[in-house]
Amino acid sequence: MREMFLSMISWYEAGVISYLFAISAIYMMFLLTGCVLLLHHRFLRQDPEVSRALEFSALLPPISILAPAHNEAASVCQSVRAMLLLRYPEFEVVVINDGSKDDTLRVLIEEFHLYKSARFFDKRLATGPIRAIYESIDPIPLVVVDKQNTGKADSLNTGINVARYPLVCCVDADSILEEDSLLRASRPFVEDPERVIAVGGIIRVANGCEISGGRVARIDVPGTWTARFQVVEYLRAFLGGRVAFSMYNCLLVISGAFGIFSKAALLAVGGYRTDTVGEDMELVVRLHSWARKAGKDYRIVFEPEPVCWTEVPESLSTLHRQRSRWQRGTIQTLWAHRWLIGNPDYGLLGMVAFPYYALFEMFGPLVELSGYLLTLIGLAFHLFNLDIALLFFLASVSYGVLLSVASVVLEELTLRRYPNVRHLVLLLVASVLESLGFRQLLTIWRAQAFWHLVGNGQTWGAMDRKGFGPAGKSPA
Amino acid sequence: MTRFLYSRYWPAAQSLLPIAALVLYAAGIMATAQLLPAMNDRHVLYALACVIVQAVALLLLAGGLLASKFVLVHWNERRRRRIERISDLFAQYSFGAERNPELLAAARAHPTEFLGVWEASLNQLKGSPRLQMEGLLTETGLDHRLLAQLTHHDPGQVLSAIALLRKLEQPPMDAIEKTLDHPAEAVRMAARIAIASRGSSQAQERVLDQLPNLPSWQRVVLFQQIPADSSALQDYLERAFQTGDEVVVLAALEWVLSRQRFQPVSHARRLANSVSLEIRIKFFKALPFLATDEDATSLIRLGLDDPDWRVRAMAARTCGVLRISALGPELVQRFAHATHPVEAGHLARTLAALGGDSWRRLQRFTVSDDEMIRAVATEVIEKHFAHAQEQAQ
Repeated sequence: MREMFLSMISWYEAGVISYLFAISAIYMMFLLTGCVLLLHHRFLRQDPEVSRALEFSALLPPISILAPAHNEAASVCQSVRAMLLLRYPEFEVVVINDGSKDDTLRVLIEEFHLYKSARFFDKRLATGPIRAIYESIDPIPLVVVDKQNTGKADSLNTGINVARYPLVCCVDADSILEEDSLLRASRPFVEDPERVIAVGGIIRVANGCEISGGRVARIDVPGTWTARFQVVEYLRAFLGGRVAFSMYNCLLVISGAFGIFSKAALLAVGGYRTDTVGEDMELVVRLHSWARKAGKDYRIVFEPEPVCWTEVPESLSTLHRQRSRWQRGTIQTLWAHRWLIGNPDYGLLGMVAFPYYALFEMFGPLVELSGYLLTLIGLAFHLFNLDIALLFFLASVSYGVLLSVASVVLEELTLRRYPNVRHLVLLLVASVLESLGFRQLLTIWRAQAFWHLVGNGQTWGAMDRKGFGPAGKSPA
Repeated sequence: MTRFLYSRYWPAAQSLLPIAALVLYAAGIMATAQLLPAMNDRHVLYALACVIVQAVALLLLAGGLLASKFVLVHWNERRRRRIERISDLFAQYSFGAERNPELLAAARAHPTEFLGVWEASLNQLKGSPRLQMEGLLTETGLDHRLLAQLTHHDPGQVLSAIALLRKLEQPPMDAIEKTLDHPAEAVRMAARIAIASRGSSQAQERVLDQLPNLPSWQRVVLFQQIPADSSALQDYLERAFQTGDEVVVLAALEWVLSRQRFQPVSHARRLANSVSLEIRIKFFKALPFLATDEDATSLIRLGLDDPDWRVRAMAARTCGVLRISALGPELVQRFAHATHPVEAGHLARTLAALGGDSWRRLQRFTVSDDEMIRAVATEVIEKHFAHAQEQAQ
């Protein structure tokens, strides 16, 4: 009996190790694919003449920027000012004040000279009640929608209703877009107007950077290790996974912090779902599903150049809430669209992307955590040899470190945003330390998400904002 | 490197390179396992080999990254200093100093930096100082280098040569026109841009003839480059509007919309009645910029009677831009029965723009029973007042 139990444990342990190596190998493939694509992108998109011509063309599709804001008084003015200064021929900024309890609405009214407007909109998507719509008396394309607190997804749906332009750009009100980000992100829509229905941009960590006048004036690495680990994580996820998935038209996530969508496609799928905490991923999956069902020749694209800077959590408790929410969103989305898994009618999406997400993103934390627990139990009961357990652990960790370092190398090879050797040294150290504790902590939090989902799946959790720089502090 | 990136082999390499790298990695582990002393447990042997290969790869990557960054930072710093020095020499030269031997020496020693500063100065200067700067290219002999670059196999080299040469007051267009046949599409596009703005009539005609077949973003870019008074363009547009080819007509209408210059058009009624919805929408949108052989009022009536709301909306919009008051009463009727909010919005804005009786009748709609009509009328009237207040300030 004991031998059978031992044999079972050994087999399971071997399975977990194989699983970890498989996921690492897949990530390595993503990074390598990302590397070749980004190199190509870097050399072929060096055309300032083309960007200048596009900037002044009346033929570029106008864009409505939707920025839901909930208790963002600390940073909303800077963000809106930065949005209004974007380089693009024709756009409007629609801020949706989602029942903020702080001074978000007041600071917007005072800063941008807003008046209560009679702006008409077609209520194509069902949303919560709107209190008022404000527009600026100044000649600036700003609309502020004040509504009761009904969540981010419902706020975005309200914004889609109010938006007047054929493309909508969904951003977080506390994020900062680089001034040419709309020009770059809209490029796939201009290049392939018939097929492209959504474009996602890269999200970068703004912690530690110097922000001035709503722009990132000086790029730096964050001051805390928690934020530095997230810089490495973001690089790995965006430069590897998303570039590779985009290449095969299997991109399942466009970050809620920055994505451009065809308004017609959003209306066709019924906008964002309000009964999930992962509304950004769920929307993209539904767009795929809708387009494939309708037999449309379509593309959902990731563009690595348009940059959106965002503040990441530095406290572990906030990070815990954020990661738990992301994992719950992933699980909810995959469960809601489980019929896509292994469905050959959906091509690579059904046969590769969805199974990958289900196997590695959804169940990954559970498998990894069970492996750690089993190793500890095995060692406690002398079922395994300590040296061998350590060797396998080292192999797994070093692979993780290798992937993180490779993503930093990839960043330097292609986009090269960090100007100093010091920055790279810090990121390399973060790449090593990330695999020695931080990754395991995230695994535990993500595994906990399964239990949280059974309890209270809809809770978003508050995000403590520091605001960008002195000007972004909460007004007195 | 860039030559390979632009080549036709790249798409295949793009798929194969990641697989090749992964195979190399696996082969590295196998080879390392062979070198290690024999062990009973093969899993342990390969795990150890894996750790060794990964550690070596890590060290190589991290070391290479830091070393290259260190070199790059220092190289950039030296380059920045060189550029500053060359900029100072340029400033002395532009302020009328004698031709400085140091400047010529700098051009010979550091041609890339020299050309960068030269290009920046051309972007800033006008008139005789600019011509003086252009002369430097010949004096330094770098013009021959750039001309030679135009025939280079590496697309990167050709692209940079085109970008610099097109800045000249009289660029060597014959040489640039030859790059229209370059195998790399990026080079052909750069040549088209250069020719569109400065090329000979024949070359411009050749580029214009390609317009309908180019992707829409390339058309958008080229529309910004062609001078509005170009005879080749005028000929092209005249021919384009007469053809029945939908793509050609759409490209011509796109040009009018893009540049918003007055353009004579014959056979306007045919465009207004086109079977293509896209042509009808774009025609009515572009109508304020078209000098037609027909009365604009009758053309707009055609648009207002169109079965598609998008065409009707554009016709209503144009009516407001052209201030055709005679259509006011008809627009009021149409507004009262409009069903699409976008069409209603254009109709209401036009009524506001027409003023007089149309404006007064629009105000009456603020108490309409139709919620959409009432809301649209209220919004337009409010905007009208806000705009007037803004202008008064």
